[in-house]
Amino acid sequence: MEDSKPVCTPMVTGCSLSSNDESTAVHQPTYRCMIGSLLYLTGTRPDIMHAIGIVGRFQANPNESHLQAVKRIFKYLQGTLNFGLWYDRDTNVTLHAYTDVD
Amino acid sequence: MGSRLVCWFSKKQNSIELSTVEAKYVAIASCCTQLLWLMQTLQNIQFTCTPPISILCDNTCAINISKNPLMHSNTKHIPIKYHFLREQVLEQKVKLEYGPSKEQVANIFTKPLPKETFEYLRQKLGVVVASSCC
Repeated sequence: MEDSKPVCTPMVTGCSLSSNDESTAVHQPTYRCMIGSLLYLTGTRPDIMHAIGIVGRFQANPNESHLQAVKRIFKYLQGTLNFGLWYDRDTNVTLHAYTDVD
Repeated sequence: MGSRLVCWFSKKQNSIELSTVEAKYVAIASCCTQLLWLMQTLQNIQFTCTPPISILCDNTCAINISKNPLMHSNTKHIPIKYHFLREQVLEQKVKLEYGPSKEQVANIFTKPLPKETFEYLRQKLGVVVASSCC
């Protein structure tokens, strides 16, 4: 995975994963480990949060297409290794809230 | 807070909503709970935050439901717990504002985006290359 080609976004647009497609099943503990390690990362990388939320839904019965989606998140991280949340000293404390659904 | 991210989450809604407006309304209500918690915490550590705090949302219909105390035939089935938002708006603790979809930072948490939008919103979230800021 270390020398994989980096991609720009953690997830393909218009991607539709489904729980009952016909591709081969993958090793569930491995899949879960991958999700777990990604979840750990959301503390500093809120940008991959949505992608993880999606792939995490298939933990009960993961197959090849779901694994590909997880691998894409890793490929995205490969290209953005130095990114992190940045809080500067002179941030003021006015609260703003944003909300959206899809 | 300011322009920095302090609290965020992205999840699958645990109820099924019949319309976009309704789903947004429910999302705003849960956003409002987080906001009230943050306001309390800030007040505890003697930061003053003056209400009303603005919540930006890209759906004007949902904003209108929160302003209008009338029951419409299409909104009367929304559980009462979500109308706690309306109470907060009346008490001037929060105010709902329209923000265009393009500037909507929360968009990044709800759907896969094309490269340009994704990179723009990511930078707005405050996720940047570590070396560029020091």
